[in-house]
Amino acid sequence: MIELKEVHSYYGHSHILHGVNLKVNKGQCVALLGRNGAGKTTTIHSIAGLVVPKEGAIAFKDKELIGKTPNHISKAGVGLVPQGRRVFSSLTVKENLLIAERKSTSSEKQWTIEEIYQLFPILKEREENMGNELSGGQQQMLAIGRALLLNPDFLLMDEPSEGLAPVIIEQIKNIILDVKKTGLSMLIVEQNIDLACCVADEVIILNKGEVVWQGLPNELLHNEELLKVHLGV
Amino acid sequence: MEFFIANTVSGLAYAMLLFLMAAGLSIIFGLMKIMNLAHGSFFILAGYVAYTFSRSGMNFWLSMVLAVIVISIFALIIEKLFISRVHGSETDQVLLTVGLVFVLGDLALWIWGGNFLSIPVPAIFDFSLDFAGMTFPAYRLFVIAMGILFAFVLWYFEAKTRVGMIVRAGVDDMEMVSALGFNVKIIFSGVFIFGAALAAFGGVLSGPILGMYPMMEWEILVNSMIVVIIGGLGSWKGAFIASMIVGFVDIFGRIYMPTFAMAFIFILMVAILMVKPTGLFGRVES
Ligand SMILES: Nc1ncnc2c1ncn2[C@@H]1O[C@H](COP(=O)(O)OP(=O)(O)O)[C@@H](O)[C@H]1O
Ligand SMILES: [Mg+2]
Repeated sequence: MIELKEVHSYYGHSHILHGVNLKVNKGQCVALLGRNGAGKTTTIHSIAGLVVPKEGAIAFKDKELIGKTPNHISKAGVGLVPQGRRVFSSLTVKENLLIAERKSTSSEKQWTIEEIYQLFPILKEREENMGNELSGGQQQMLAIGRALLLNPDFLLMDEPSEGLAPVIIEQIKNIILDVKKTGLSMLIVEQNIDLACCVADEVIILNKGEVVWQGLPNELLHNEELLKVHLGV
Repeated sequence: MEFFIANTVSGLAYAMLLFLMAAGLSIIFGLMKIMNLAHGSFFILAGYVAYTFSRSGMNFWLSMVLAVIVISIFALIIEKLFISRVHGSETDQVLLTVGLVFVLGDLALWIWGGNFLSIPVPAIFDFSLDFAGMTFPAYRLFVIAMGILFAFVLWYFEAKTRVGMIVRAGVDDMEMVSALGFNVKIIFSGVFIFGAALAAFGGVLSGPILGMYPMMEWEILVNSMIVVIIGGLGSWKGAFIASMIVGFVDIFGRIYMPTFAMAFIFILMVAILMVKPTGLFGRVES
């Protein structure tokens, strides 16, 4: 589905990604873990075109993404649930969904607003509220709904559980599992290792802008050394 | 009382011209984070261009439409050639747009000379309404009606159309809008042209009232920037209210204390900012 090869990204002169390699196959869910500042968001942004890598290659469905603008990358089939949710605060809940809704020629599942409301009934109830009137959990649901309505072939999620209560995290986890069942390929950045290992088929650990480990969720959960050194647990 | 009402009409007409200027300035700032100091130049150039068309025998309305089109195309060129290169750098934006004001001002001086010019009042509004012993110039009433109509058009556009929704989202978070598949360059150009067209429309409307003369672009720019600041950056609704406040203070200030008219407006602005630093309808940045 997507493959990053030796991706180097910068903010101004600071070199953040030092040759990231990763691959997500069709229908696969990969979790990207790592400490704060490891470069996870930068990796997500490099794929979405919000940061333009200086070197390397990002092949998505046999097309090169580097150098394309975010709107082209989005149209090519990449959906983004950004860190911090970033719902539009001066749009209503419904408008936040309407703005994203579009048909896709390639994705298998075609989401509609009604289906998003079935997935998140609370959004239906709060349809006329403004984006900034929602709780953190509701905003996260809205951000996920908005990205699904793009009907992407590949979904990027950046810390969907950040700042949420355990009950809500459980809900978000189940939603991610439901979405995964539709066959959507995903790359999920998480600090919550339990959530990540529960939803992911494969785990990648990033440290200082480099991939330092790659393996199965179970291998990670039984590797205390790894958990301690790179994830601080 | 009669004196007061007659000047209220003048104040409101002036307020609507400021509003047409300030609305564009405010929307462009809200979305593109660019303070376009050359916005007053669009206003006055439109007046000059319409003057030339009307001198060549065209009627007022055709001159107006053509002038607005000419200025919109001109604004597109300015946006593509210059404005698009200075995103993110405030210093560059100020230097560029101030430079444009000087260049365009000299160009206008070269083409239209340094005398006061004015566009004749269109024939169908060239009369006065007598009401309760007072006379109201019909054209001023027309200008007020146009201001209110455009406030309504802006409201409709912003609240009820898909493009308006995308613009509102862009004011919140343009990067996210682009990540949803919308082309930022096209949105920016579109909003810039739209704002310039509003200013151009105001400039032509103002032709029979304020006329055109050298350095006028600065006057109209400063007053409309005060309107934008009082109303709250990025809020055209705030601009609508603030333009009336500034229009009134300006007209009555000129009558009662001519030498202090400008000072009044600045004092008013400072007073409002002390009470509400974001302006009347300004959004609080998170
Ligand atoms: N906009 C920015 N400008 C400069 N440096 C940044 C910016 N965003 C992130 N960084 C730096 O890049 C590094 C990686 O950040 P990020 O990718 O956000 O990490 P993570 O998502 O893994 O916590 C950090 O050292 C951070 O300070
Ligand atoms: Mg991050």
